[in-house]
Amino acid sequence: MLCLGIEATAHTIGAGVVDGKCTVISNEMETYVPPEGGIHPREAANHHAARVLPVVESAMAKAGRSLSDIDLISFSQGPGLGPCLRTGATAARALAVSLGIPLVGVNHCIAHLEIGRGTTLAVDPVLLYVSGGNTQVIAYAGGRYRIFGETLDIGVGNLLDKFGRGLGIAFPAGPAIERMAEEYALSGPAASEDAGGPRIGPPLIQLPYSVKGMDIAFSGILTAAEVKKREGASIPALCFAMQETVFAMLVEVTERALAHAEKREVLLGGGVAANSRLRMMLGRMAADRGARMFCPEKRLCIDNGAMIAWLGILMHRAGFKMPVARSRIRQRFRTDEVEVVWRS
Amino acid sequence: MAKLTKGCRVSGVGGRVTTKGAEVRRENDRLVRPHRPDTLRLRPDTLHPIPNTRHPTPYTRHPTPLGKLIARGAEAELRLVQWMGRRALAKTRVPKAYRLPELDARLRQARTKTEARLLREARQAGVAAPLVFDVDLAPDACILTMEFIEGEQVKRLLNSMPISQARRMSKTIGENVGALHAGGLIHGDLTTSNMIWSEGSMYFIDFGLGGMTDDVEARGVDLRVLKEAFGSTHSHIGGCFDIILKGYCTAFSGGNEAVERMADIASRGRYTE
Repeated sequence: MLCLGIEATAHTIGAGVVDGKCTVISNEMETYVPPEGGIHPREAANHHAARVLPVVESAMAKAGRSLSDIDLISFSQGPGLGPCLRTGATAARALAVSLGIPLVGVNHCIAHLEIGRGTTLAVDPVLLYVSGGNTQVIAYAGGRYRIFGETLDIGVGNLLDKFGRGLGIAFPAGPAIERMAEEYALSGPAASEDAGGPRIGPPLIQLPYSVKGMDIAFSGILTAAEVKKREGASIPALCFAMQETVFAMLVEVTERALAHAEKREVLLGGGVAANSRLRMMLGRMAADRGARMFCPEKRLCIDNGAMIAWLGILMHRAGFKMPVARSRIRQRFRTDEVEVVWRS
Repeated sequence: MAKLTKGCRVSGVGGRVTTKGAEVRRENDRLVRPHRPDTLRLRPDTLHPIPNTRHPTPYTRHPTPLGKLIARGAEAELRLVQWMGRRALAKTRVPKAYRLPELDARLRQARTKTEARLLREARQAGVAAPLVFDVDLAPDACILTMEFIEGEQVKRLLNSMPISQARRMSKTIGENVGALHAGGLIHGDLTTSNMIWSEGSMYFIDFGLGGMTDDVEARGVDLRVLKEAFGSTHSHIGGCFDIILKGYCTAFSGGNEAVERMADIASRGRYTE
């Protein structure tokens, strides 16, 4: 069985072809980069509308298949930005109807988890899903993917982008922040002899650390960083403090979820998963707990069509049906609403 | 009056010591300023036996040969130890290698201190909580030694008991959370794994993320944390959360306002209808 998945929740328009064994045959994407400032949903949607066809064609060409080989069309039904979701959904419906094949709308957050289970050795992991819009700790319990912890305000990627914008770093700010933080860390007196351990860098600027049960809140961190900047803190020192503080919060809530849900595997996903300091911290936590950490390859971590295709296959095989008339997008589609019939 | 009481106490101990044959010669009667209780050698029959004492050993400060590891949570290790001849629980907040040592020490110390304080405040608010015996805030220690409560996690009980009992248990949860909030406490990590049912009382533990405040927002967040945890751990009796809220409002006059704020906070979150 071959499934074509279409992803369009925010910046990225993606198309991927996956088979019934979770082999990613192709996975193409294009990202909308705003000329300045943050994302404007309508402009991103215009970009996606203009690029969806070339991206789908490129995915089919890379896969070496024609559309007539496809058995199922899957798309991101939510959560995400309305105009972007509608663009992706419209393309998916048009393909399904014209090819006369079934359509499945899937939850974007669950797709991140399932592609991790499908392409790594993880069986029953706790997922730390960190991207621009989302920051959730998800695990399977009682027939659903439950949110064990999440941000009470904005996504961590969004926080990093806003922080970067204040410092004059262009979108996406994550990689630049990571580079500066690392340079700053290495400028310290001595590196720790323990390779997996934290580097002993120069002084850490104190930023608010707010963990509320298994949830986290980023509000106040940005303001505090701005105040420190006005007081003369250097940009690399701020980048370092931001990463160390925010990632410690993320790893802490993941560890709490691991203990609470009594799981022994951690999966990392989302665009921020590309950050090597976060990977190192999460890996260290897992190792210290006797748990295993997994992370799909980078193109499967960020928003992509292949993960949408794979979840589509899982749901379709479990008997899930979605007539076109009931395929409306859901901007606020929550992870724990979906009955995970394919795992029972 | 106070002086007299103290004198009586001293003479009481004196009487007790002499009847056991202890004597202090004039040349040896210099005062010992840091006279620690554990430097006294007691004959076994000097004191009334303390229940629960199996192997009385003198109390020494850290580093103590720590006792048997009985549980390992997300941030702490729990060990059964002897404290002044009494069975006790030592909760050690272990250093986390994944975060910077500086940040790590700051968090562990602050939480150990907060927890010790809130355990006492909880008891004052009328909520059962273990009695704190000792707090060691050294950065390499962060050990809280407290009363050992033998009981069952409410999380496990709720998942194994019939619905009628679960409803009653939910009401008790609500009443206790209400009493905490009425006493100005915020727990900070309200989950059913942090409640222990022991001999007909519900004990609350793990106050490390808590604080003292009358802020409605903080109470709302506290309730929301409980709601999320309850929903994810006890999905089969999800309806019992309303009973918790009812119990909460009966025990706490400001309950309705906090419950409203909880709903408000939830609606501010991501992806809510």
